[in-house]
Amino acid sequence: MTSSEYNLGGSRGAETFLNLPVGLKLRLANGATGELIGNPGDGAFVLVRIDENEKDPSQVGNEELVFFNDVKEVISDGAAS
Amino acid sequence: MANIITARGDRSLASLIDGKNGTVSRELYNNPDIFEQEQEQIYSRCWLFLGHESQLPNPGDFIVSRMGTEEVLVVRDRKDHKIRAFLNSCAHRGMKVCRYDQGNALVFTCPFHAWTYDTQGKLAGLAYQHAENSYNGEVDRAQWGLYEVGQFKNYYGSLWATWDKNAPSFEDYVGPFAEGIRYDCEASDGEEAGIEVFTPFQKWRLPSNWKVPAFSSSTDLTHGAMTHRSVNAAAIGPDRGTMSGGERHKRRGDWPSDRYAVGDHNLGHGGNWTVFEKTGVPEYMDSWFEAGVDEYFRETQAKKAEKYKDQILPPHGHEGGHFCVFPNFIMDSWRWRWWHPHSVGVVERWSLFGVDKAAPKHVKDAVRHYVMRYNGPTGTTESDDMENWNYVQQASMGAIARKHAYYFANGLGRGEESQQYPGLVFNGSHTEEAHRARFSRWLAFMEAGSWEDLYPINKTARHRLW
Repeated sequence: MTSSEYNLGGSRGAETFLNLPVGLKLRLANGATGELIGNPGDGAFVLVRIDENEKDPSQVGNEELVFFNDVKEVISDGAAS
Repeated sequence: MANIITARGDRSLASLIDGKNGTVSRELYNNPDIFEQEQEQIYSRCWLFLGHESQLPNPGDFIVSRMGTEEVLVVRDRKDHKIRAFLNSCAHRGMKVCRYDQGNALVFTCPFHAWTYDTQGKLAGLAYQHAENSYNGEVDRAQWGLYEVGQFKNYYGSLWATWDKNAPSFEDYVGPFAEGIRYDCEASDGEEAGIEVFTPFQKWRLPSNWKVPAFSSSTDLTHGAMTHRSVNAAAIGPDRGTMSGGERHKRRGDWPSDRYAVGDHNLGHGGNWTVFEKTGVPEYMDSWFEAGVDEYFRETQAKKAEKYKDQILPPHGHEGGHFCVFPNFIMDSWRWRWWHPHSVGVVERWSLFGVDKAAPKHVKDAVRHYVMRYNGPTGTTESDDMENWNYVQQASMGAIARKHAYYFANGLGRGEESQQYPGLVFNGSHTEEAHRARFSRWLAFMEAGSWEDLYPINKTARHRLW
């Protein structure tokens, strides 16, 4: 799938989130971006390593469990980044 | 006008056990208040068996086990690879965080409000934790992890835990039976911690108070002749029909030994105790139907003989017979059985069966088929035992039945106390010394304010009732 096809909204959004593969680059609701490094497959959280956070640069490098509500979109599939 | 009876004379717990005449009131098995008190006084304090490390070989692996009536999540951490155990109840509002028997997980997410715990039990995330219109970042995650057991022990691969931080160490808790536990975790060639277990747990429920099987099994040699008469006659063991299943001990050949029933009244443990009278191990005797299995065990027996050539074998486990660890665990070399209290009249029995880690597939298959045939919910001998356990409670609960005590006086007054281990009493192999020891310890726990009142924390305590 291309990054534009990881639609996290709509009727299939929950299923899409559940199956997000490791390696994707995500934009979070607070503006930060990060790499998806783990997906427990429960549809609730994904594990993200923050690589950019203009509001709080001290978060860069942190690994955070991010609730589905706080993931805004998939930016890229990671392969071309 | 009829009055409601509210008093029944002396109702102390001690009055329910007659040490002089060797009887126990049926009230111990039928009274719901006693059952609740057992959860508080016994299951919240004792070391309890959880499982075996081979059930969690990889980082992130987990099993759901039990301690008394409560579920525990046993998990191998992804980072430090240590095994830990936690109450399977979300710290937020109590929901089970894991509803699978076993598996591998990155995190454990509560399905109620998404409070999520990592494999060290720490609260790693929760929904809306930073939202200004919600938790606003105010949850101190360090305070709200899963509730961890008080102490945990991996003893030669067997996993144990207690809720009580003030409980004695595991080794002090099991006392002289530590050697048997270590020995039962050995492979058939003597390799330390050399077994693995067949998974998953076998589980089934019976309409019986937990003490009916837990305080009767190990050692209860007088039941075998009657309860297992037909299966013994049918020779349902792994053998070729030359010996019956009830005569497995004949595999020892003519190895000189004396067999006893022992009960440790201070610690509550007990069962078979075989005093071997020479060093080394008995000669292997062929007993398997399946091709190639005897060859394997003959070879491993020879390696074990080399290991023990200058040692006397431990008195329990393997050739020595099974024994119990108070309150609810029975162990021998090839089957580990324990009984979880479920309610006053329901018990849930769990089993694990061990086999050499290094055994080839055909041997593991043969052993697995044997244990399923012989033990477990579809096994022949267990079906015999369930015949009793299904009806003991039923026949003991009525207003008339509960007035009559159970008889536990087989061998009463004939035991000899060990000079080496206070409270450990040796008696005839077919006596009920092990049963009596469990009741001595039962009363001690039920009356104790804390571990300060109990042996071995209180080294001067003597719990023997009879």
